[in-house]
Amino acid sequence: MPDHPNDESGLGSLSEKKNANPPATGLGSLAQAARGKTLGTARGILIFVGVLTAVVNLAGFFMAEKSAQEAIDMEIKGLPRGNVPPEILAEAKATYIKIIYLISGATVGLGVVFIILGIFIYQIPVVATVLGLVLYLGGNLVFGFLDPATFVKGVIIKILIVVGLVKAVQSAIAYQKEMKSQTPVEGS
Amino acid sequence: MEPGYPNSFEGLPPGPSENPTGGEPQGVAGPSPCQRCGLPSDPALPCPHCLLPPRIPFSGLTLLAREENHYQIFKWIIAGYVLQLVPAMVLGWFMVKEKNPDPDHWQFPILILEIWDFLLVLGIWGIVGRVILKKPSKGVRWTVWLVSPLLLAAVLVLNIAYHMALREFVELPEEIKQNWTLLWIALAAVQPALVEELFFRYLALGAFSRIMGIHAAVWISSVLFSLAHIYSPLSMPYLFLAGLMLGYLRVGSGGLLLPMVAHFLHNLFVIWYEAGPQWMN
Repeated sequence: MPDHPNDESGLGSLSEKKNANPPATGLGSLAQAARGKTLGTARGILIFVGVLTAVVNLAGFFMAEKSAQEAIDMEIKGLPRGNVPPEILAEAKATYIKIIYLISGATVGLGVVFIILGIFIYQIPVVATVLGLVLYLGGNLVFGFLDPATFVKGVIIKILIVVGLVKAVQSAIAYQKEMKSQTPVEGS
Repeated sequence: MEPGYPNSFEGLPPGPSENPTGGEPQGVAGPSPCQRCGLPSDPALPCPHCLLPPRIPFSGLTLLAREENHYQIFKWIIAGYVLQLVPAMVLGWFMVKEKNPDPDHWQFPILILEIWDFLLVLGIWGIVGRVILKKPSKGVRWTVWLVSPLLLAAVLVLNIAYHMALREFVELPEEIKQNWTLLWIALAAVQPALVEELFFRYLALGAFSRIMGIHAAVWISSVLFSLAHIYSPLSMPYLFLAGLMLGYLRVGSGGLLLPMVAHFLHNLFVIWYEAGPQWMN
């Protein structure tokens, strides 16, 4: 398997490296630098996705009233004029606004989480990349269910982001292993 | 990561690509950390320390867990997750498009979807293999079993309170009353208890715990669990907490039985709560 975590550098198994306690020089440090570069790309992806998510949903938060009105108009389109009592319409609009506030607020929070994961990617590489990927995939599927149009919108960019994050997980696992192997064992 | 934990990276066997003969991976023959106790043992023999049975390949497949191939395991978990959710999402589109609120109308497609989930999870389990967590001491396991009814009760109270508050805040209409047949109960209580626990608490939690700390693994598997309930996005914060409880029950009890029972009882209680007087019939 070409992407086995142990054969990335072709320098033998990790256990051998750990036992030998090698210095981070030569090919080992080069491989680690390459992984660091991939993590840097992942950091860029996470921060980009986070900022975009937060900004778009913050705008959605402030445009809740307009969006609710549009949704109501869509619902009553085709019905004869004056068929729906205004108080029912007002109640439905208020409910829509609250739901938009809830979803937009939660999604702004999600954007902030992406940014935080991007910032701390070198401290917690595996957790940051795995959580970033899980949240990105899950978020897209949930919003895809709520509105099918959002699922296909920018699908190529979304696939590229997912591929980038999956690759970042691979690098993060190897990066973390290498970091651990560099850490001297306590009491030795 | 806890020292000596099976997810530690110490003593990893070399990958199969490093075997020049191209036969049985080299790492399988030599001692490697036991999946349960973390101490060195021969994978072909029972562990001399904790007596874990030998890790024999399933139906001739090369099990990824046996090779300690963390990235490949992770990829399979993510692929399985997406393959579970995409059909659910597509079914949801049809449900919304047809605007037929009668749940019985959708019983057959939901049944097919749940059978698909079941087979998919079994398939992934077959590929990945055993992802065992370190068993806690007997005292801890007993305590977790004894405390679990209280935890479950607390989570159920939280469930009711959360959804009452949500209903109050967004003034949602009352849910459509469902005709709770035995098949529906099986679909809503038995299948999730088996399939979701096998996927989220065994495969995902076990796989994540090999590449990160156990707490991070529990939290991330709970995020996966809550996001998997795409039909109820407003319930996701609660589902995350329920996932945390089930995850810690899995870790604390050292097995899958307790979270499965807790999940089943949780869903059964929700059905009872929603069905009301119909339950008696």
